Order: sequence, then C-alpha cells, then structure tokens
Amino acid sequence: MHELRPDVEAAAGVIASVIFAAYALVALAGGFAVLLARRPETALRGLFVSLLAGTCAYVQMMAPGVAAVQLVALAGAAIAALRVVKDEGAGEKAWQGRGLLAIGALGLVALALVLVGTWARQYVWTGRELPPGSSFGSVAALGLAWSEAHAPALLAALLALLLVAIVTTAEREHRL
Amino acid sequence: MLPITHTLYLASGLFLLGLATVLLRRAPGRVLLGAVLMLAAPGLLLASFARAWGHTGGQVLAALLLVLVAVYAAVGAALLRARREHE
Repeated sequence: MHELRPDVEAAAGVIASVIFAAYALVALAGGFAVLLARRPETALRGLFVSLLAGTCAYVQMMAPGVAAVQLVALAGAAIAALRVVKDEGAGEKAWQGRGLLAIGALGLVALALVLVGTWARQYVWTGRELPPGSSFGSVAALGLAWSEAHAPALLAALLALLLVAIVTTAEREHRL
Repeated sequence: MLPITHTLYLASGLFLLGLATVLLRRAPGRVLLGAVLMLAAPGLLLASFARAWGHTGGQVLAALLLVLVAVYAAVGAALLRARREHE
C-alpha cells in the first residue's frame, strides 16, 4: 500500500471528521425527537433515524458487521415497539410540573458533555494502524471471531433471539 | 481516521438524551424508547475502541449488546401490550 502525502492525509482526516459530524448531528437530532416529540410516532421515527445514523457511524469506524447487526436487530425491535407506541396516543402531557427538572437535566447534559470533552482531549488518538489488506471489522471477520474466540457470546445472542421468537410468535393466549 | 474523541461525544450525547427521556417522560412506551437509545449508545464506544486497539473482541461485544437491546425492546413492548390488553 502506497504512502499518502501528509497534506492529502490531513485533508482526508478533516473530511472524515466532517462526515462523522454530519452523522452525529442527525443521530443527536433523532435523540432530541425521542425526548421532545409530542406524538409517539414521531418519537419512534426519531429513534429510528438516530439508530440509522449510528449505523452509518459504525461503517465509518470500520465495523460493517456491527452495522449489519444493528440494522437487522433494531429494525425488528422498532417494529415491535411501533405497535405499543401507536396505542399510546398523544395524550401524554410530558412536562407536567417538571419544567424545572427538565431545565436542570438539560443543564446537566451540557455540563456532562463539556466534562467528557475535557476528559477525552487526552485521547485525541486515531488508533493503531492496521496491516495492509486487513479484513478487520468485515462481516466475515466478525463472524469468525464470534464463532471461534467468543463462542459463549454467540450462544448468548442465539438464546436471546430464541426468547424474542417465543415472545413474538407464541399463541395469543400463551403470549407474555 | 477518526479520533476516538468524536465517538465519545456522540455516545455520551445519545446516552444522556436517552436518560433524560427515561427520567422526564411518563408514558411507558416513551420510556422504553429512551432506554433503547441509552442502551444502544455504548455500542458506538465499543466499536470505536475496538478499532483503536485493532481488537475484534470489542466489535463482538458491541454486536452482542445490540442483540440484547433488541431483545429488551421486543420483550418490553410485548409486556406493555399485554398489560394494556388486560386493562
């Protein structure tokens, strides 16, 4: 693999950061929709958008395998939640007597973000270089690691999925 | 390549928004959505640190976490629906 010129490498870093910032903004906007939307369907849509932007961020972090898992598993969960949220209606008054608490919580969020940013400045590190041609993060590599080195994790995931299958497909009278 | 600081900001922002939803909203469905947001955020951190250290283990853990979040959401939704049907 040929070396990039330092100026080209710096420009690539800036572009990657800008793209990530765009994903992050979309994800955070979805998160705000979950918190603030009046209609539950809008909140669910916000969650879906947020998770979708998170999936794009996974791909940028060289984790397409994890992105695929997120798309499949969480899309299913969102569909399951849709039925509950639809029944809920828009009748909830979210901020009843909780205005001060809400303002305090938002202040704490801002403070926590500043603190995390300050603490994280020591880790402005882009990580270890991978060997040329590495398949790190690919679906195949993730599957291999999951089946060989982390078999108990695979077993736990399969058991969890079995539980979902039972919960969602059992006869109506026997359902949870 | 991305500095891991970026992911720290995004994951902590999503986690805190989910936490605010859980604490401030009353409808059980909305609390469930907030909890899903809260639980999905650390997956970003795991994937980011896995890339930084070049270790696949973090990605495996992130995938497992996402599966468990999906299970939590599906079971939570089923329980809420069952409770509503009984009421």
